[in-house]
Amino acid sequence: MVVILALTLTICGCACCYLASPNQKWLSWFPSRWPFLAAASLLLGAGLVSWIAALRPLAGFFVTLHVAMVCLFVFPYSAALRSFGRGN
Amino acid sequence: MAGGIRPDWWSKASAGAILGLGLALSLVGLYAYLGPGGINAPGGRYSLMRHLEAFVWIMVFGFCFLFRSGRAAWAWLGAANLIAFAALFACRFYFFA
Amino acid sequence: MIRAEIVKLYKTVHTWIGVSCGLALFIAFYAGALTMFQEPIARWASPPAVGVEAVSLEDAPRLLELVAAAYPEAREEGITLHLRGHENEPARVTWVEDEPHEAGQPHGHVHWWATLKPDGSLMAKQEEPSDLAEFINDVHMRIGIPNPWGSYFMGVVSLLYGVTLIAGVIVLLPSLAKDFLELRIGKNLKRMWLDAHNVVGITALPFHLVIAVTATAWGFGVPLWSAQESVIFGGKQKIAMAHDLERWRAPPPTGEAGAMMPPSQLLQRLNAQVPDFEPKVMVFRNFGDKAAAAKFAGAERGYVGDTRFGGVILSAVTGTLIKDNRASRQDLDRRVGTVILALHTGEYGGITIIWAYFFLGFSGAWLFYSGNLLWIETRRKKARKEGEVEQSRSTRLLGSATVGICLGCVAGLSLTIVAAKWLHGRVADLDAWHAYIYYAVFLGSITWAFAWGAARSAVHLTWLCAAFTVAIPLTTLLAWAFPMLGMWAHGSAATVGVDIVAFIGALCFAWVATATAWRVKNGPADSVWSIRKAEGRTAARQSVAIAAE
Repeated sequence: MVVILALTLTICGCACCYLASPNQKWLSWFPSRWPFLAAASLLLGAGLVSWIAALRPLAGFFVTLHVAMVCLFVFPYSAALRSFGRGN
Repeated sequence: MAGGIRPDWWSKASAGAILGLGLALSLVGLYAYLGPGGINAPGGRYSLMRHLEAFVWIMVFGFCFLFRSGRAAWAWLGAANLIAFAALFACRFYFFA
Repeated sequence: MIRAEIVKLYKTVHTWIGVSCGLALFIAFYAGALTMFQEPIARWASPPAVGVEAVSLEDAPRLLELVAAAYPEAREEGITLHLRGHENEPARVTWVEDEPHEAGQPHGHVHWWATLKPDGSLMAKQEEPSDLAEFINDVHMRIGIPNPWGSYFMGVVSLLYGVTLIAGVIVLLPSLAKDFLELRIGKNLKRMWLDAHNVVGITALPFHLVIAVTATAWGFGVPLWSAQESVIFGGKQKIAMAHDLERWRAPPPTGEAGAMMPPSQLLQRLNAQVPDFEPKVMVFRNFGDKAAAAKFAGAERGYVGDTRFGGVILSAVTGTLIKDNRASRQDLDRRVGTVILALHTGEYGGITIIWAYFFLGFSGAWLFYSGNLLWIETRRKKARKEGEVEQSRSTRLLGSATVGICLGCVAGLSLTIVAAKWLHGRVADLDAWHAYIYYAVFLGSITWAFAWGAARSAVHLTWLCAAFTVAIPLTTLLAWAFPMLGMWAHGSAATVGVDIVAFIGALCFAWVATATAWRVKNGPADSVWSIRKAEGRTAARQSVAIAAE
């Protein structure tokens, strides 16, 4: 249960991170950065704490790191695939 | 570093590969002697050292192209090797013999 | 700020190492991603057997006694008692024996399993388990080159991979802040491949650094060990290692008989003394002896890297803890080493990290594939500037090699997985067949790619990948629908998961094949990825000829 919570928090945190990037392609407009950056750090922090609660500090840190790595390259690709689908 | 960097591919790469390995072995060897517990420390030090050596080797090889020339790479890395090996052999044959 | 000449220098380093090592790294990463599911694949490939449940844990003492009495060699080598009931555990009890050999000579092993017949008597059978998962791991570690040269080769490749990572980061640094997470889709193909390459490389950089360092250390493992012994330790390493290994060794037999504690009770004693430890198997050494020991291989919940070097040994007579190598009890050096190792193999964090590493492995394979595409695309642009339409020989050759080696590896691994079910019981040495099939497909694909050129063969071979990969779930479906085929369809989540993942993978390959076919027909003609090149070239020549007239 706490694993699912931790995973959700980490993925949402990375999503906010991506949306805060000036290069995000999910939205056709650019939201203001700071709320997303704040949300990203809060969510990733909460995710890290939940992973540590589910595992132990070291394992929790590495799991957060690796899930974040996957999210951060999957999100740009997902946006790229969508624009392929639209036919540009 | 005026005058620009010369590529010197082969001399720099050979310095990185050979002297990088030498530096890796000697620096990690120093850790084996000076690290907690010393050279006779029981435990898994010998297997950790391989990873440390690989790390130092990759770092030296990776950054050795920053030297101005192949000659400079051999000179600086050679000097570093000499010092590190001197320290290592001092530990091995003198201080902790 | 990094000077432009340094960036230019490192760009050359990055490109040349990338192009020369990229294909080997592709194979290592693709097969490595599959090894994250080594256990589900082994379960998928294992034929149905009597299974662990055939003998309850309460009846296990009788089974163990019968085996120890009938097979004295097993007592010494260790009798494994399985606890989980996975499909790749043929029975409650298994053991390994040496093949007949001369003393001191290298030799093979034979595998046995044993269960109780309904009348309570022993039934033992020699049966070789599927080595499919180990074969995939071999391809991952040595890209199929025999030991020790495969290890040395991958050591060199991994070292250069580390160097090229550093070079890549230096090249990227000036534009890193501006282009982070940027992936521009559009007409500029070079830009697109560059973004696609960078975004994967830079986000997964910590992962790649760890992989490069550990793979270098393992590839050069034996030479580095010898170098350490002669340069640093001067003979002390052997002593330290022997001392270290002693911590995993069961005590020697006394020769006196002792009453064994039943496995269920041993598990209770384990739980009481070592909470948070999740055993996978228990191995009895010197069963029946007063000094008999039960080794528990398993993981300590929440620790990084606890399956390989972890484990505890209990006395099989009294149930007291005699050796304790749990992660929480390791010395600092061992702990750091184990953590580094586990960061390569993903032995922590459970199913989340297995999936994360699976995707990271694929992203790595994609990194090298896209790197080669980028090289070809860059060359194309240069060629066009100089006014020639035909691609250079080197880009055509690299294009063919990239397509043949990468897709050949993918198709070969898929087909060799399928063969585990089709060939079981039909060939004498299935393990050898796994290798034959992989190499046949791999080498065949390379030949095909060079014969047909990158563009055409990319379409053919991607469809081949899709076909072989979809054959994995189709085989299971056939086995389920037609039992007389002599194949099997396991129903556990892990093995059905293999089928589902293979099906999704096949869909992805089919999608890629369609997209490639589209590009081959409609993409820019002056590319190795176009079949219009040939016609375009003759047309250009004709127009030149007409103009000349």
